[in-house]
Amino acid sequence: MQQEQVPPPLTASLGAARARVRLPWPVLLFVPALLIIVSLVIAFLVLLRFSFNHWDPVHTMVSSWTLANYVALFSNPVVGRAFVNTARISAIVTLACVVIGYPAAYGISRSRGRDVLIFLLVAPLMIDALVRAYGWFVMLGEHGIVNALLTGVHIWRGPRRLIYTEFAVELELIHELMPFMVLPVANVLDRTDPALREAAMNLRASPWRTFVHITLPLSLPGLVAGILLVFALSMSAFVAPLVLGGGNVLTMTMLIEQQMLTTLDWPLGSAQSIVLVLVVLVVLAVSRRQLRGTAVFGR
Amino acid sequence: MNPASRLWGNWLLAVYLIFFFLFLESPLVMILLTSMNKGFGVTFPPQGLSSQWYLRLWDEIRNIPGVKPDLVRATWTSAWLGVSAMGGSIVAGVLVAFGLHRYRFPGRTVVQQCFLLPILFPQIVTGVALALWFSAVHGVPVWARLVMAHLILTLPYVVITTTASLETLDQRLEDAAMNLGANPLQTFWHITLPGIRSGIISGAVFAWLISFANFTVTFFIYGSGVRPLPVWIYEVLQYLLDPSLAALSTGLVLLTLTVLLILNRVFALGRLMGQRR
Repeated sequence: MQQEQVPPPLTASLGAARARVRLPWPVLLFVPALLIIVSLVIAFLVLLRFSFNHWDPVHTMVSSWTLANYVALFSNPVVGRAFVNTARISAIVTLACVVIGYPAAYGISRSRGRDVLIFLLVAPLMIDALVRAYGWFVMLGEHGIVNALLTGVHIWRGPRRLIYTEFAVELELIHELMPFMVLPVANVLDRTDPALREAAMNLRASPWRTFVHITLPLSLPGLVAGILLVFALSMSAFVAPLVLGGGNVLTMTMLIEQQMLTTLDWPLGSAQSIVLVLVVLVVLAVSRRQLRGTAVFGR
Repeated sequence: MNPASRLWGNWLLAVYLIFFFLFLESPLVMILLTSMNKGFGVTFPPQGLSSQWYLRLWDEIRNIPGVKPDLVRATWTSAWLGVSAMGGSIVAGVLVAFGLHRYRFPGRTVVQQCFLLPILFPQIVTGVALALWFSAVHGVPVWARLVMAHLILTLPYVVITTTASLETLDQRLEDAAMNLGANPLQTFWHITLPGIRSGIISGAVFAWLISFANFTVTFFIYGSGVRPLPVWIYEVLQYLLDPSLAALSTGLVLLTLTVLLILNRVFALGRLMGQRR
């Protein structure tokens, strides 16, 4: 602010003398958006407050200040099972995304039709989650393509029931979250200097050695960002376990849904939501540096 | 590395990419095949072509007895909800993106990330928290609740696309306008806004699509009488696998892809996630 009081020297170029457009009362620019964000914050505070309330079967929710709900999260075996299930599903999904996604990211970053491929990669994300889930419903049915393929090549003897299993949920999540793994990796690979790879090859390093010692280490920040994003997003996934799990796959989100809509134990559901948010935000905060410039975090 | 093995490597990579994208697009393709399948439901390979499911969808659109009612109503609800959320988040998002881009102040990065927070906040928690808040505050109509929730969901996308446009805007144009005697408001209206038009339009389209397709948050907030399309589809999925749903889904997929294809010319999809051009 100080600097702008000083009149620019006449010899300065136009760029340096730039008088940027400054509207009067700049604070007003932030008001509408702040209202929107603040409403999320208020809702979150209500959730936090409810998580200290007491629940009883007759009066449903009784106002109080108790930590019983948080204690219940650690002592209740059902919650424990849900947490373990969620962690397992997220780990499997993340691992699969790395294994399947890394070569794809490598291929996309080397290909000439990159823009088209990135469109094909991101477009399924923008399609109605229910429509996507229905697509998997169709594929995983008893006469669906997955059963047809796997029995066709004699991996399975006969069709298996796949819908409403953990496998179905994992498959949907791998599909849904793949772009969040591939894009950060492809971004980083794009920006690495091809000369480094060529230098290694000129020094007669084998393709494998070049990959392990040059390409892989350089792409590590993107890979870490992808892993954290996919893990965090699969922890908070809702549609996949709801539609494709059909009540057979108990995750944290399914438990929250049950408590909110079926048993109406809002305090326990709130405490669980708080824990879920904390886990997800901690994962993302830890990785802020890796996420910067690769994810939605901006530059 | 010798040329032969490099060639082999490229071939291998290309074949891998083909399989990878087959996997990614397979649910969409299967929906299309199912909607044209002669047999009932979800069989592979398909048993022959038929338009019966599209005819049945037509029945549902006309709301004749014996079909799941209210398809058209749900679609309109979703479409208008999308328009409302889009309008609100365009105004709020463009202003805040401009403010963040032009004014430097302490804690600016943190503020910027706050506006992107709803993307990373688990959607189920957003939905549950809003539902609980609305349960404590009586008298807010369901429609207003849904718009509020969708504003939260769509705002970050407008901020992202507008910021991207602002970064490429040549600010000397604004300087020129000011030198010619325009006041800041005139300059903003006649120079800045048209200059970031592509960012605003893409933000609007993303906002509408995100709102139109949202299920998770909507599921916890919708009420009787106001039932958006994703909730309608969920209810159908609950009790029957009528392939007319595939016909409907095909329509929705084609609609989304068309919008995205047009949009992709203005604002490459990958940039939404930090891909630079």
